[in-house]
Amino acid sequence: MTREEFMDLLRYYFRNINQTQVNEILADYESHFEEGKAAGLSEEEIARELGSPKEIFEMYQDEGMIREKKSTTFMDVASQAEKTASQTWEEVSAQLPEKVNHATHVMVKGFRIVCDVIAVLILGFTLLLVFLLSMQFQPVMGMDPLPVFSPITMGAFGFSGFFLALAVFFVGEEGKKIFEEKSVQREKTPSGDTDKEGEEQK
Amino acid sequence: MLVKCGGKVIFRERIDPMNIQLKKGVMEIVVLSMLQRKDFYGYELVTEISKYIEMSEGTIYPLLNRFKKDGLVETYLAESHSGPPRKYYRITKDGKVEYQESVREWIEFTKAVQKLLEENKKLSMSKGGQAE
Repeated sequence: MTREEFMDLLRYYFRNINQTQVNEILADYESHFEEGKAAGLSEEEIARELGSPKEIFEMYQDEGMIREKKSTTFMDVASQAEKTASQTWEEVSAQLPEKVNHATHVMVKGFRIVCDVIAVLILGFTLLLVFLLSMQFQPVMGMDPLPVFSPITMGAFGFSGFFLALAVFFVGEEGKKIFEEKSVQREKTPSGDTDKEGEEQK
Repeated sequence: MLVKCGGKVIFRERIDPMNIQLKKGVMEIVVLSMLQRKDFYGYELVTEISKYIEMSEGTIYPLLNRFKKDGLVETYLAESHSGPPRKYYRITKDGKVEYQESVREWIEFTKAVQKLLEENKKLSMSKGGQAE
């Protein structure tokens, strides 16, 4: 190839490299051509002896000599996005344990409240029913009044409702204890809760 | 593999990665050896080496640049009667130390290879087989 072709090709391979560096590098090859010309060689001969511009570029790469200039190819954007994403994740995940703890606490409180509410509702409902059924309540005018159940039936119903409410209430309490245990473990201090837990279960 | 062609040693072109590594290592010691003798400008160095070994002359420049980056070699400009000033390469103290080290390693390596080749030759002959 001619000198121009060689230099153009070389310039092409170095197109993404910092141009100040590239100019220095290209100057070496320009003077090589000059010297060769002065020695009487043809451009083709000189270019052939130099080898392939691609190989030259790769060698500069291997030696870690060249730095790419800033460009906005898709890959650059993608890798920049990836960097940002992983940085963000690191920041977030550092905060996560705290947040998880916090979230758990909120959940636990909520759970307890819900259980309490349900317990109260069941209790209320039971009482109401017991009361109404014992009074021969007429839900709607014109309908036959609800049958009267025997006191035993009513008693059984009442107690079932009462204990169901109590059970739900205790589930709420237990749930809270379990979560507290777990979060305490996370904070690396074993607590007396474990003992209480064991005792209650007995 | 090394091949002799018209009195010159040629590396069969590319592909074999070990060859390339070997070639790189060898070129380093060759270049330092030249510069250890005297200062050269690029074209002169390439021409001189080409008398003994055929290689892609273009790859000398990245090598010289790396030496410069590593402080083994430094450059200076000197006027030339036939045109623009030339960039000369001069070996540094560090470069000389590196060169001595490389020569030692090279001698050890080639000795070991030589020994191995002779051993195998001996063994293959004593087995009554054909000489390699």
